[in-house]
Amino acid sequence: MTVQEDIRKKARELLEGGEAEVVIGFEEGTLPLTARPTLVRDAARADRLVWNRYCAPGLARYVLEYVRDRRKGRDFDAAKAGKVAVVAKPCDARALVTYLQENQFARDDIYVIGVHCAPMVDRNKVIEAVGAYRLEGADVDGDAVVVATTDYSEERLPLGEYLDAGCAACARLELPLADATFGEPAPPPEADPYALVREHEARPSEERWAWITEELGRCIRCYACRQVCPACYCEECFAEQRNPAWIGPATAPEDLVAFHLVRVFHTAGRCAECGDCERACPMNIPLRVLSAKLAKDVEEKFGYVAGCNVEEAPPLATYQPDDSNEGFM
Amino acid sequence: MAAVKVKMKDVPQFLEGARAAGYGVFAPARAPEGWAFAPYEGGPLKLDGYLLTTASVKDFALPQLEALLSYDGDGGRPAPTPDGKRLVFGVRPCDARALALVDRVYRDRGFRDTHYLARRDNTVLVVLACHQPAPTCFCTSVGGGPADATGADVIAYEAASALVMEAASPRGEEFLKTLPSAEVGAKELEAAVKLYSDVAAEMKPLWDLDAVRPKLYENFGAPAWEEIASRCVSCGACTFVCPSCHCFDVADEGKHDRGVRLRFWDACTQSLFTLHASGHNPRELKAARYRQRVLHKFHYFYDNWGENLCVGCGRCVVACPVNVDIREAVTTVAAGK
Repeated sequence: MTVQEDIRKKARELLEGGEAEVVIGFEEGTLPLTARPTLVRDAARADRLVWNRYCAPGLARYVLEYVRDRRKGRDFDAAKAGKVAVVAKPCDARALVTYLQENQFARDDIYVIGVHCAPMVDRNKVIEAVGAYRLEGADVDGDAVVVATTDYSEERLPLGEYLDAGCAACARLELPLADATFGEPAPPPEADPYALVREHEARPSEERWAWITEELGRCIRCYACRQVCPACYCEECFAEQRNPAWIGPATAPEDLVAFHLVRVFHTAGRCAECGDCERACPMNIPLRVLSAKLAKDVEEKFGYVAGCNVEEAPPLATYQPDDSNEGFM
Repeated sequence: MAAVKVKMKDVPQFLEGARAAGYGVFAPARAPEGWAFAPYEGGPLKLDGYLLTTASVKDFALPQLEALLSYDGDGGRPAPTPDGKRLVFGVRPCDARALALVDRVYRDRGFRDTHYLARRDNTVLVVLACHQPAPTCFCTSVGGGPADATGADVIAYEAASALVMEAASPRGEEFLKTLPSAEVGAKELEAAVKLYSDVAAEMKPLWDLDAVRPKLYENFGAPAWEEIASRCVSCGACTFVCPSCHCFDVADEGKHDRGVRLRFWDACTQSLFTLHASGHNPRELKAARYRQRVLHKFHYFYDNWGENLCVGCGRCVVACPVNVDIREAVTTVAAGK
């Protein structure tokens, strides 16, 4: 059976048996090289679930949203509620671990359909290569992205050159949480997962600051990065609080820098490194550099990698009397 | 109206001419996000692969952030009206059409938004007709077209190795007069325009707007809204890249004794948009918010102004991080699913 068939079968079982009341997974999108989040409540609709190389969007946030919305329901009865099942890549599972550590729901509330993944396709790279107006259809075939163009030709692009950069650099290929597991774990990449961060760290601070202000200066404050981020789930974001107003409401350059830097600091030790922030950005801001920098710092200073173990205490949410006070006044 | 012809290789000179005539000139240029209207500072134009800018032309009329007034202990002063002539070259027909629609809101029926109108009046839009629409383009489904001149001051058609430019407004007529260029006869203009009817013919309309419109409202309570919006993450990407979304918010920024009143874009897809001070939110559910966005485009704006507000540029389709597709939403809901 293919992983897609495995997922459909499992979803059907969970829904038919009443163990789960919803399965959050992917369905085919409306654009080439796209799969999109979908909520399946009816076993008869389990066949709309897909698994392919376009399943990049994170699904963990939908689990939390579902659980929260359900709790708000007037006739909600926790004793009768079914589980929320979710198709989880390793990064999704890491985000779920963080939710459990932060007591957002109980382990029994969810059913994790763990799926080992291979790096997802970066649709924008394909568009860049063939031209937006020529991309009629496309699909992965073995080691190639096969593109059907509007001028009725076919192009074969080497898959390896059209992968999501975050996925390609990902070294966290294990599933920290799963009730069922499908697919084979990929061999870990040989490349240094923090190569991108090290590259930036090696630059003089003025250069880094110039880079930050230039890249973040493009932000249109649409909050796509925050809204897709599994770690950004505050009911009220500091960026929108008006009393006190921590930052201005719109796109003044200092507000853009403040928004992104504060947001990313809030995800320190919690970021699942899914790269959704960067993928979601309509202005193509390389946000992953910021989150990867914090992940690296947390790993180096506290020996902690977010989302690997539910039992582990997140370093920034715990206090030990012998903690270093370095940096405190 | 007057029409002129500029050889492709002479387009930079044409833009230089506009600069010399006192216009701040903007043209499509490669940008980290894809394409953007960038200040044109001379040299050859590189338009290979140009389809649409990632952000729309809207910012030239309704900037994402602007000051309306400033105040201190002595009282308040309106922010100066924006001045300075600008020319934006290479605007696509969908974008110009969008501004023509937004004009209605900020100009007609008694209320006149001075800052918006000052920018509109100072800006010449040179529209570049489309001969290669993207698979996400659907202008012909919403009343526009690849050579639609609505909202344009000048419309440029690509003909062989030249641009045939026709004035599409008094402002455009005035502008073309200031530049030395070869006049074009009616026949040549007609031939240039004709090339685009084939492009339009290839873009099969997705629906008949007049048939779809009442259906959308009839199906206000359809479960399809929930299904379609179930993946929506309630960001504002669709709204902010949209050339015709024109809602704004206002806030004061300042200290106790002085400050600035700012106006900035707002997005009906975000939950704060309708949050009342009481804590009540009439559009608490994202399905209700997304429905508002679609119905404003396809129904309410028509009720108010007799026009469809969506111009079919497809930017929202491309920008959505989770592939919420407005074409699909309209089709599905209108079908009563």
